[in-house]
Parts: sequence; structure tokens; C-alpha cells
Amino acid sequence: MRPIWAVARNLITEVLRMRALLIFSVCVLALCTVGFAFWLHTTDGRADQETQTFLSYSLSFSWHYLAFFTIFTSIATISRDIKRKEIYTVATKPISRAGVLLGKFLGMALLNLVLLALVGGTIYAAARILQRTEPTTQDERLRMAELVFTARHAVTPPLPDVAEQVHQQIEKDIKAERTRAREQGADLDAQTIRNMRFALKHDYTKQFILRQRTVPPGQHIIWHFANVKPAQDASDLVFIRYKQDVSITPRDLTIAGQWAFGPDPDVIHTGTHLTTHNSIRTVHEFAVPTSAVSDQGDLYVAYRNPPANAPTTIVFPPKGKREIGIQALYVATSFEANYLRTLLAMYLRLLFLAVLGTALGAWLSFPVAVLVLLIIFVFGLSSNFILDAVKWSAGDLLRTFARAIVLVLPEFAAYDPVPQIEKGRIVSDQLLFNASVFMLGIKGSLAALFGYAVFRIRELARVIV
Amino acid sequence: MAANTNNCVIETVGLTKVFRDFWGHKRVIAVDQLDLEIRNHEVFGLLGPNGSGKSTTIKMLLGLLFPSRGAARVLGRHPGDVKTNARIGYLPEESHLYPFLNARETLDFYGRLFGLPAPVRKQRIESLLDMVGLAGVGRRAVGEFSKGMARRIGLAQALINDPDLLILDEPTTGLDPIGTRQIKDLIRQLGRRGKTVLLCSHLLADVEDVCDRIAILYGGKLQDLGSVQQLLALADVTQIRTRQLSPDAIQSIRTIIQREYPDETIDVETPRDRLEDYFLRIVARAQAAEVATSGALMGAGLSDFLTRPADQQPQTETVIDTLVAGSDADAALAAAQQHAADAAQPVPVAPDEQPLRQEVLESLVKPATTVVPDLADPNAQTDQTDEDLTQPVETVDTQTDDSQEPDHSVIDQLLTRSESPKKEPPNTPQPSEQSQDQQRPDQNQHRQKG
Repeated sequence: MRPIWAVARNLITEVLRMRALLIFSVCVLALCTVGFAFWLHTTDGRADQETQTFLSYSLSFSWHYLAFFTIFTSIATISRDIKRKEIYTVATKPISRAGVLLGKFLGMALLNLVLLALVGGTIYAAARILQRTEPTTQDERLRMAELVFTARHAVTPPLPDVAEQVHQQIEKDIKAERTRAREQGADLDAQTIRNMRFALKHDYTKQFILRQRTVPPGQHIIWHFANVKPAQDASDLVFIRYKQDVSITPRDLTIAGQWAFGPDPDVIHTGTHLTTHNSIRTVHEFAVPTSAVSDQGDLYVAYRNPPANAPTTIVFPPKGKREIGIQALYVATSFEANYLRTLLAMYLRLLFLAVLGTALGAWLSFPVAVLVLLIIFVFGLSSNFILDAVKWSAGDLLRTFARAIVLVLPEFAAYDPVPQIEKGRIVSDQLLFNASVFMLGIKGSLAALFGYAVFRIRELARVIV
Repeated sequence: MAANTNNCVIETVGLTKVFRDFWGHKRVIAVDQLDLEIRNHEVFGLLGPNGSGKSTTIKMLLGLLFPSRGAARVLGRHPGDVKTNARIGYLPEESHLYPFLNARETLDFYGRLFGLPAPVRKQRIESLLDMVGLAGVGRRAVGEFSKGMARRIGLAQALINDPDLLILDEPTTGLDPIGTRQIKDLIRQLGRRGKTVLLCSHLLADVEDVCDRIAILYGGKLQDLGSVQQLLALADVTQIRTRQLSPDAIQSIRTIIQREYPDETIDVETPRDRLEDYFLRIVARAQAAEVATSGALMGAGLSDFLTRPADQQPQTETVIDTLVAGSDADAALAAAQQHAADAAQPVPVAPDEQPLRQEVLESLVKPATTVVPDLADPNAQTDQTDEDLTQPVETVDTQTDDSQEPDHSVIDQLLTRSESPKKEPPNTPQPSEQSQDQQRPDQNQHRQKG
């Protein structure tokens, strides 16, 4: 272990001696943390939104900077050792080649840990200063505490299972299409039918789900939130957060609503009732006491579209990229704990880049390795976009290829904790687990093994004759 | 320690390295069917012109390159084995060191790679920096070092683990004469202390000075292999060295030789001092005058941890040791002068040369082949002063028919030591530390046709 630690220590020393890089890094990070906070302080706006913006931008920018720093440094440290032949005097010492790579990775891991701690600490301090200085009213202070400096867990009701309905509708459509084709003296080939099924499946699924989240005037809908585990503190509340759309836009852009909530499925009769009058297409929240949640964590919420809204049908769009649908939110832990989880998720992604950088630097030259890792990085950041882009393509092969790429490459977007902390949501255990096991554990280990395998069999010296 | 049973530290069988291009096409055979056996405790030289495959061979022995064919064993294991590496010190052909580390940090880093505990590291770092003359610049970044200073720190890192096998690739490249001389002294000392040294160089004098055996490579192939004595002996020449003789004495010698060998050509000449020795004296004088320098100083003697217990090998000092060991610069200057005088003296036989000593003693009873005018008057040498020692000596080279005659410079040494020992001041360097160059003054002498 001592030789591995020596290599790690050497890498840290190397980076610390790059004075120009350090000065540049300090300037950039200071600008995007303290500088940004100061700029926000000078602008007018809602305190909670400014702080959310600060957290979102400063954390994102800092992470991206550290990601590029990790990419370049982790590749340079090993490929430069080989190019400048410093590896000669290291590889001929009692340290295995795996030890050399492990030492490099360990050095990068420690370096990232220190840098992330410094950046994270600075951003935290700046955010707390904004919390103290920005709100001018009690309402703003409250909003800041409840929306930003909190760590709420969101429970979304499960989507209804509409697979059977969708299947029946698709078969019906295909049958009708084939009949129509036969009447014209032709028939649908297998590929066309397969493409139809694929295209219709998405449309009908969305349509049937939306249909089940639609409330015509005079009717109601009941949602079941499971595993709602608010803190035991009696003062804690559960918040129902929702957004409504309408089939016909009312003249004053507002709609009425009758709500009921409680631990019993027959919530309409046994639950507590609440009436709202809200603007449409806007996110709203109301508080529910923890007594409305059963000991098993069940919470039932009913919504009735009062006849006064007629003829408007209310739609609760399903949770998507830009939709929140309806959610039950409760405080799961402190902001500080959640902030640490955020930094941990960011750190796991940096570690993954360090693994890839070390593995690539062990067998590719610096420019080639940087190019490859940057492509992986960009693909990883846009994995969702890639899947969306090829989803509607006609070719099965392209879809399969895109899925394979996404499977192999890191899903950085999926493991991004910043949107969570920005909204005061807890960075879930699931995100941390997936990031550490699937991204770092499995994909990272495979990359490391591949890098080691190549590094082990490659000649570190060049033949000079 | 050594797992091998045949006393070979390095063994190669049919070692071949073929250099191929990116597409796998054969471009050049760097090393071709090399069979080598380097024994324990020997200083082995790998000689050859540029591109002869020396460095490639070394890199294969270290696991930095893989053989295309054949095999190599180093300390009984495969090249590159971690346990083997723990017992090897390696100085690459250029000191590929981390430029951002200073000299102390560099040695500390390599000490850590060997897993040395902190106190041991600290002690060795100080000792090695002192040894290579870089103690005064220990805090300077290695990237700011001159090439020679980088070689010195490179050598220090190769010794940090007190290696059993030291592999030196062109160790004197870029070094000034002081450094060159120091490294040669160091190699000799390490060899005497039981280390095995593989020295790779195209500087023939370096190899000749320090190696027990040499191998000559050309075009990747082994051209010749054997001991330096064996390969370089001029079996049909006799050389006699003595103090400066009068013309009459020289004429008498000529007469004697021509009487015995009327057809032989006789060369009588006054030997020159070696430029290396002269240079060292100048530097010592500058040090005595305390001339400031930002470069490397002459290093101290071999680091303590590299030495073995005194009962195994007597402690001796080199001229470099003597020059810098004491704080008194005058003493250093005197030592340098003494060394220069010693350089003109024959070298005593090392303990492992006892059979040769016997052979030489036997040869002394062959009057027809040697002429030693001053033998009759041993006091002439007993009374000589240090200044006398620096005076030129006459040498007489003559062709002889005795092809079995050993190197007669050894005779000189035996005569000097056994029959007319000179007075030596304290701290006088032992002649055994002198280079083998000094055993063959004929290579450095101004020749006069007799």
C-alpha cells in the first residue's frame, strides 16, 4: 500500500506545483461561486428563486469545471509519465502496474475530494449568506426555508397500468389498417406492422394515462401515495404539490377545486376537506398534517372538479421533464445532510471520470485519450437526448445501437443531483445507489479492468536502435 | 536471497527483440539471439556503438520491453517481477525524473516506492545527497538541474534501496569529469562490496576502468565476451615502469635488451599525467580557494548504508572521498596531489587476484623479459617524498616472445609495495581505488621511439 500511496501523493504534489493551473482554477471557481452570489445580491428578484439559481448554477458550473479538470489531469498524469519516460524509474521499482494505476486513481480521488470540499464549502457559505441577506419580508424568509433550505422527499403516485388497453387499441388499429389495405389490393408487410406498433404504443400509452388523470366536471379522482415517512416531529407537514391543466381555458385563468385527504382509501367520506381556487398551469402547494398519513405511510388524496368549473375538464399531467403532476412532499432530512448527499453524488461522477481518464491514459496518447473521454463525457451528459432522438427512428438497428451506447456510457444526466437540491428535494438513496453501483461499481470497474489489461501487456519503453 | 542456483544474477537465452511498426511489419532486429550470464558480485559492462541494442537489452531485463523471442531471468525471476525490482537499482540513459520535485522529494518518492520507513528514508536521503554532492541543492527542483546534476540525483535514486543489482545505462553521460570519476569510483566500490553492477556504455574508457567482464554488442548481436584483462592483454609486450632514469641508465637497459633480443624494437618514453587527474587537482585548488559555485560539489564517499561490515571488506576511500571528506581544503588539495602521484604508481592486486599475484611473482624470476634498474636500491624509493611521486617516470616497452606474460604493470605495483613501500600521509587514498587506466599507462603516454 505504501508504494501506491507514494504514487498518489506524487500526483497531488504535481498538481499543486502547477501554479498557473491553480491560480486559474481558484479564479474561475471563485468567480462562479462568490462572484455569482455577489452579482445575485445586487439584482432584484425573489430571494428564494435567486438562491435556487445560485445553488443550481454554481454547483453545476463547479462540477463541470472539476469534470474537465479531472479529465485532463487523470489522462495527463499517466500518459505524460509514459511519454516523458518517468515511468521507467517508477515501473522498475517494487510496485505493480496495477499499483501504478491505482496510485494515480487514488491521487485523483483525493485531489477531487479536497477540491470538491473547498468548492462545496464555499458555495454552502455563500448560500447561507444569501439566505441571511436576501429576504426582506417574513414571507420570503419562510419561503426560503421551506423551498430551498430543506430536503424534502417527493412521493409520486404510480402511473396506472394501461398496457392491456394500449395493446387492444393498437391491434384494433392495425386490423383496421390491414383491412383498408386489402381493400386496395395490398397488404401490410411485417416491418410496417412492427413500426406501427412501436409508434402507436407511445402515443396510446400517453393518451390512456392522461385519460386516467383527467377529471370532468362533477367527477373526482383519488391518488394513493405510499411510503410517506415524514419526520416524527409533530410540527412537520406533508405538502401536496400539483399543477393543473384545463381542456377549456376559463376567462379568469383560475379554477376551483375540492380536495380531501386522509389515511383511509374512502377519503372522500372520511378525510379532511379543503377548497382551493388557483390559477391554471402553475405549481401550487397545500399542507397536510402528518396525522393524515397512516402508520404504514399511506396517504390518500382526492380531487373533485366542482360543477362550477363546467365545462372545463381538469387534467393533472403525468410527471415528466417539465411536468410535476401531483406529488406528496415531506421533510426527510436537513439541508446540510442533503447538501452532503449532493456533493457525494457529484463526487461519484468525478470518480468515474477519474477511472476512465486513468484507464484511457494508460494506453492512449494524451490527445487521443482526451478526445475519447470528452466524447464519452458529452454522450454521458446527453444520454436522455440520444434516446429521445432515436426513439422515433424507423430502424431497429439504430435504436438498439443507441440503447447499447447509453448502456455502456455513463448516464451523467440521470445521476445529476443539482436539480434536486435546487428544488429543496432530497437526493435519493436510489440515485446514490445507482451512481455508486451501476456507474462507478460496474461501468467504472469494467473500464479500470480494461485499462489495466492493456497497461499490463503494453511495453512502457520504446525500442530505440 | 538469490533464487538462482548457478550464481547468475542475470541470464538471457536467445534473447531477441524485433521492432515492428504499427501494422506489425518487421522493421529492425534490435537484439538478436543474445546469450548472457552475469554472475553474482561482478561488474559487467555492455559495450557497443549507438544502436547496438544495449539499452534495449537493459529494458528487456527490467520488463520495460518484452522479448520477441528467448527468455531472461533476473535474480532468478522474470524481468519486471515486483520482488525482483525491490532488489534492483536502475539508472536510465537519461535521468527521467519528475521535474516538479526537488532533490530531497525525488529521493523520498523513490524511497516510498520501495516501502522504506520514514527514518530510513531520511537517513538515506541525506547520505545519498551528500554522496552525490547535491546536499547544498536539495531544495531545488530537479527540473532546474543541469544534465550532470540530474544524472547525480538519478544515480542517488538508483541506490536508495541499497540494491543487490545495479543497472546503469550510460551513467556518465552528461557528467563533468568529477562526476564521471566519482561514478566510476562508486561502481568499483559497489563491486568490491558484493553488489552486481551491469554497466551499459559506449564510452570505452569508462567500461574498461571499472568492469570485470565485458560483452560487446554490434547490430544487436553479441560480438565478444570475456574479462577485461583477458580481452585487452597485450601478451607479446613487456612494460617496465620506474623513476626517471639518466640517459646512461637507459642506454644500459637498451644494451641489455638488445643483447638478449637483437631484433626487437624498444620504446622509451616519459609518461604523461592523466587529464582527469590534472583536472581534479585544479578543481580541488578552486575548492581550497572557496570559489563559489551553484553547481554540484564533489560528493562524499559511499553512503553508509551501501557499505558492508568492515570484517567483510576493508574501508577504503577514493580520491573523491579524500577531496571532500575533510573540511580542510588544504588537506583536500594535498589529497588530490597525492592521488595524482598514485596515478603514476602501479595498482595493488585485489584480494581475488591472488592466483595472478602468484603468477606474477613467478614471472619475476625471468630476467630475460624484464629490466628493473632501481631494484638494487630499495632506499631510493623508501626515501622519496610526495613531490617525488609526481615526477615523471620512465617506461620501457619491449616486444617479447613470452606470450604467457601477464600485465607487467602489476609487477611494478608489487615491487613498489613489497620491496620499497613509500611513506603515505594519513588519509592517503588506497591505490586499490585507482582506475584501471592507471594500470595501463601506455595508453596515456607520450611515446618516444628508442
